[in-house]
Amino acid sequence: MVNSKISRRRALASLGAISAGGFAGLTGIRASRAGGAEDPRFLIVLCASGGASIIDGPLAISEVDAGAAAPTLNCFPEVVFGNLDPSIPFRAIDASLGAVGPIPVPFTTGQQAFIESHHQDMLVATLTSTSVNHQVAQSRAVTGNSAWRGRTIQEAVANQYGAAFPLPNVHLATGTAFTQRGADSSLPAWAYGEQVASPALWPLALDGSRGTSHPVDSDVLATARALRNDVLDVESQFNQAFAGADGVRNWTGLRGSSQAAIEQAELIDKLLFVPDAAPYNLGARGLSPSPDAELVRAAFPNYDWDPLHAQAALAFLLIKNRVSVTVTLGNGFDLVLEDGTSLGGGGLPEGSMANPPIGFDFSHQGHRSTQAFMWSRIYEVAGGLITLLQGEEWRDGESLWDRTMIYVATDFGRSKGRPSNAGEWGTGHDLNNGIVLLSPMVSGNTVLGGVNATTGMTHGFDPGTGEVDEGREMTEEEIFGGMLGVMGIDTNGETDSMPAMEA
Amino acid sequence: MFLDSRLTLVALCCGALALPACRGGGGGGGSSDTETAGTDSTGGTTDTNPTASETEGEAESQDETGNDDGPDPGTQAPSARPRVKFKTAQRYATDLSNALEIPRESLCTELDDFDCAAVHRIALGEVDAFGLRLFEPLENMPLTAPIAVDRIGLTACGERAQRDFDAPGQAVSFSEVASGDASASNRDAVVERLYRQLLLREATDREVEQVTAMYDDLPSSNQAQTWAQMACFVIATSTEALFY
Repeated sequence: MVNSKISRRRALASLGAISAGGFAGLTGIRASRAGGAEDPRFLIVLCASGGASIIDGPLAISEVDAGAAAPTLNCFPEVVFGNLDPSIPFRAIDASLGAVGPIPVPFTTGQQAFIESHHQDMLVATLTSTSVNHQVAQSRAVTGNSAWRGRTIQEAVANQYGAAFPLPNVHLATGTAFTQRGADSSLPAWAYGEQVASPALWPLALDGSRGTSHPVDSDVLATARALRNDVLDVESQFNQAFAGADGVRNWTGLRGSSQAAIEQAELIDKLLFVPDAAPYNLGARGLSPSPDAELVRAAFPNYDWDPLHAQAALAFLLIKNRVSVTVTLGNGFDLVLEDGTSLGGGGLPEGSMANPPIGFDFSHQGHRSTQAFMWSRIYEVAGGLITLLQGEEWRDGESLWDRTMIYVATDFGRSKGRPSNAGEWGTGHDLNNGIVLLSPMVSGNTVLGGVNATTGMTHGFDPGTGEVDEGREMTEEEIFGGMLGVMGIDTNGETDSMPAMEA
Repeated sequence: MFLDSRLTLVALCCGALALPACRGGGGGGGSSDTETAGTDSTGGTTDTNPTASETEGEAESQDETGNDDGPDPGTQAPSARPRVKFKTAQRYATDLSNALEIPRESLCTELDDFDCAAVHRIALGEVDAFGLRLFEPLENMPLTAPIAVDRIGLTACGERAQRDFDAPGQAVSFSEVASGDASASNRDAVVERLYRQLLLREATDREVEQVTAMYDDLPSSNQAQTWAQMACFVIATSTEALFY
């Protein structure tokens, strides 16, 4: 009988091989994934679920511009627009409202500050999509209606740049089709999205022992795993019979070098952003918050009850620590209230609601207030991420933000009309809309296309020159191709480039 | 057609559930005939008239004189239609709780406050329709899933070891070594019991030998209890323990 007893020395040697190298212990991953780029670009997909209407955000229409159409068109009195420099082609809604639809929660929008700070990195491109079904539209928003073999833009970016990253494509948002797997099954397994359900506690699953109530030394764990993986599992009759089952094969593939490499990178020390205080009490279990935890908690202070803040906190840490090249986050479809908020009479305190039911789609109940509330929320999270990324050097004075793009993805637009002079009303879904991109890599301070101020309908532009073309509407395929161009992804002519979108 | 399907089902069940190998037999997994049918490699044959071609193991077992000594020890032909399911977090935790006789609520917590199976439920194949609007299990098992399983297994086994070593007279899994004698024979006895508790079958000679020998690869500090925890761990987190 062959003696295949796993020695501690052998287990340690294998770990040492993984930890060697200059990329924080990720050599095992790098070695097993060919084609990784040394000069990655990062993508943040910020999902505005439910239908973020571009004419309630940066392309808002004034009553003056609408003229005679104003009473029945979704447009705004001049007084609500922030006082932006005339060279800025965007509008900001600055107003205080007493409710979001029928929910009595006062709020104030502060969009001017965001636009002023980031207009140079902001591009709005018009778009007319192809579905008013939420799930179908969300899926098409990230695949460009299957513009490139059905790949999502996250998968395309992960495939291009993620080879050397432990988890190239992380999905923090749940319950949306923005995180649906694309149709191209030819990509390497690591290019598909890794779902994170609980951003605050998920980093615990990056180490098999640390922080548990009965931890063991890493070499002890390595010894046991080697015995299990290389001897007991391989030789077991169960394995002999069922190794060919998809689930077993997949499971076996997940164990091993990639798993060990994640632990060797000590990500559990870098990604826990919660404080060492109740209910987390990290110190009691030998853990400590990430060195950047205070920084991200300051940027996203509601991390403990607002899922989007928690997602954004982890999103930054995933990029900063070179764990991922693309992260997807966004508002959900559930009502989010601060813990302990009383639903008694008199309305809710300002700031106590983070998300109305069905997100942007609450526009069915109250369009104006929902859009204003939700756009402000998108800007707030985007602004937090941008500030954090600007503060991190990539190399040679270049910041992480310099090579990152935020794609504000949404389902579709909203219907353009309103009852005569209504201040609040409900809207339906409309294919006609636009997208927002934020990045130093895009043509900033730019609107590609435009809006007919008397109908609220957006029109297109020449993809090459960016010249307005009122007889044209932009397709999902074109916008998708343009975003790939910004991200530096060459599709060998399988998608059309959009030079006008690139810086 | 119906009969064929029924036989196939019975055969698959036998193959899946009758895997235990008798220690003395070296892992035959029951009679060779049952194994042959269990793998369903011939499309649902019964065990009444096995032929030499039905399993590789059986074919190899005949020596030059034509004597049939049964299949090679530990040999199991691959299933022609392997269909097994991952246990998912709650089912796995419940199985561990029952096997190790640890109340479910104290089996494993993250940071002393969050139930492990709940924290890792999505990674381990469950859904959360009302909280996260995840109506279907993840299409692809995430890379973190094996680590999450290791955390649960390590914690549960560590808890069992702690309890047994604190009160050897009431030990559930590790009585032979918890009382202070971690000799090879005592470790053998523990391994045999762990296989019965965690996998509901007898261990093979080879399995007992391997798990027992792991003791020599562990640090001398608190060696017996560490070995107990890790012996439990390697079995509790084996592929066999995670699928059904």
